[in-house]
Amino acid sequence: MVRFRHRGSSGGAKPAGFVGKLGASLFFFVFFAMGSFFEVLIVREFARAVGQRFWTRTPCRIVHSEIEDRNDDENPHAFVVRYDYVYGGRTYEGSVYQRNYSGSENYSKAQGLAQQYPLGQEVSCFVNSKRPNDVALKRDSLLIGLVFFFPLIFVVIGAGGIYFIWRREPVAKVKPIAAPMVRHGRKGKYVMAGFFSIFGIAGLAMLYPLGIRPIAKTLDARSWIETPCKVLRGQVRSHSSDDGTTYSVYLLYEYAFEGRLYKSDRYDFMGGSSSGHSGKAQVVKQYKTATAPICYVNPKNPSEAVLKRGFHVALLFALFPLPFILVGLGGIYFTLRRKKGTGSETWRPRGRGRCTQSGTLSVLRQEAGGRVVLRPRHSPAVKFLGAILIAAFWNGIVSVFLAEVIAGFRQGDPRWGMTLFMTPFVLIGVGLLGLIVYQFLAMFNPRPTLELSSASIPLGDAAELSWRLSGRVSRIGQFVVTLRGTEEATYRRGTDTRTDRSTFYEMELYKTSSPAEMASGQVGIVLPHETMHSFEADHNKIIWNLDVHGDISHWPDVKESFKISVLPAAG
Amino acid sequence: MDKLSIHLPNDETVFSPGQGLQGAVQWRLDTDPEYLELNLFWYTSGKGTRDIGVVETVRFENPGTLGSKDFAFTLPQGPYSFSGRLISLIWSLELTCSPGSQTVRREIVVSPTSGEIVLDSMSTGGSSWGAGSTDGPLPSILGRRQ
Repeated sequence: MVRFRHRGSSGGAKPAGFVGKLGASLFFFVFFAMGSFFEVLIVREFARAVGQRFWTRTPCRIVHSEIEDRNDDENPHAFVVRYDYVYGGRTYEGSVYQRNYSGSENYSKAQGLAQQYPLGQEVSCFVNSKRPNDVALKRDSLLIGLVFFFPLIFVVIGAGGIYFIWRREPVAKVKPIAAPMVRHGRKGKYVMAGFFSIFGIAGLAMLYPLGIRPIAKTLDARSWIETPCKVLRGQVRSHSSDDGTTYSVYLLYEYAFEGRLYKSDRYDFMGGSSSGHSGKAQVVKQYKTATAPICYVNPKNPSEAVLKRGFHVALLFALFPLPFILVGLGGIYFTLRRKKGTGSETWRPRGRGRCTQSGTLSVLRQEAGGRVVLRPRHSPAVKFLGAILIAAFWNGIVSVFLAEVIAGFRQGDPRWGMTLFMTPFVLIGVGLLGLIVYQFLAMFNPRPTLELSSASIPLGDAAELSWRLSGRVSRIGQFVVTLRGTEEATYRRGTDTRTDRSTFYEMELYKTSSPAEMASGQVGIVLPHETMHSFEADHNKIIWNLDVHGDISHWPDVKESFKISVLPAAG
Repeated sequence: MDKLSIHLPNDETVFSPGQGLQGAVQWRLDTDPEYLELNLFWYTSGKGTRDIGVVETVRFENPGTLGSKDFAFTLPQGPYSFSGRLISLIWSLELTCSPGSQTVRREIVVSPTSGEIVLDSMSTGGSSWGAGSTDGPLPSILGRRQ
């Protein structure tokens, strides 16, 4: 007998030649070099911050403290300070608040520093004992050390890549398959959990500044005092980055509270920047031209004020960290919960629905006498929603570029190259819109309900299948029920994940053109003995389906697929 | 020179699901290993990314440089050994020593037939019978084939 077997390792590739290895090494060297460069910078900064821990704490007196406005879009407000101190019997004057401090984006931050270090205040400064002129009011943060691990990833990828490209493979040795899984299976699970925890930590780290703080401030500001203010300066600030330019409202205003003059530049509690210039320009214009603008002052800390309080649309941004937290915590939960690779039952079919002795099957409900009502693999509503989501995603991206093309035509400057390039993408988008219409119409089709005599059928055994069609059955020209066995192999090609399917078994169980026979019926099945039972591993599957097909002319056909569980032959 | 081997009685390699599987492992090693590990497992091969299911593991602690041990497993009811257009499922016994990566593997077939299940052509076995009306119940079908 001819046997057909795949013996090669999945996704195996031919060894690369010398030039290929050189090219790949260059690629990894870029990672290594970039990572190392940043690593050196971080280590140097961290070493300086650690060095400052050995500087001598010395009493000093503030002789000058003010907020200076600078012509700098990034840091327009700077806390300027001078202080004198005595070290080694000599008097020195220092002017450094913190090494590398170059000002603040917000007035309130600079104002906070000025309040912390007022004129005449006796405070502590830190003096370098080797060079007493080297002094600072605040030492560098050691948190820079935490950044060390980020470029380290690039260094490890680069060095590891080069190592694995050039290392010599042991010749003609049998590589273990099961042993690494047994030894490292659990570790792999924790590596995945660690990966998801990065999402979770990122989300939690964003939760306070983006979520909790703005909402808490918004609630607190309901009791802040309404106070007249005077706008001193207003502009829409631009922030350029790799992702494009974003804009923010900048309004510097002055107000009097309990006989004292204060300044603030807080517009709302969200802060940050976003796309869209005109709306922000409108806000700035309104405040600059207003005769009596109002700000809201915190009576407990009058240096704190805001122009816009209460709940508004921008506060929805507070929800931004939630998907990160959900992905992180959900990923950790499902990774640690998952039983992978070990145990004799990992291949059993999985699905939605009831748990039975043979696993969780696609069973909608269990009837008396062990009969089960099957759940379709994808209901018409799910298919319709899926079509909407895919079309919205595709057309959402395409529309950005399409808008550019249309703008070119409108302005009498058509971009023919881009138009030609975009044409196939737009056609696919139109096709996806057609798919939405198709799936919408299919929702009004007659619906089949399938009932099986048993939740699972062993190979070589028999079962009874009965069906009912609800809706206008007379529209169907031909009705066919088919039992189908399919191989499904999922693999990665580049960055894509693909699934190939091949049908190895097909049996037409029932075929009729009579509406009366379509409306309800039953059929007996005997499964073949010498074939493969249901098998569902992570990437490779043997799926058994009952496929129902009703042909309707000039209308989407009835197409429903019901997964069934076929067990190994009864012992 | 290191040598590991797995012996099955009469060199039998085809087994039925649920059947007992006995055999022996032998080793002659240059250095004293911490342990030897024998795994009974299946793995997929073909177009899809490899899946592995380790069914049972036996560990022989401090086995010395030279020796032999018997083993006995009971094979599960599935999955069967099979070969299709896209996927093959292969059962195997694998003996490894630690530390080191010295490995020996012995493939077996787990199938209710005399060999692995072959899915390379559209199967035609099985049968069905039925009626397009549920007015009356079908006669008892168990044991009936057309």
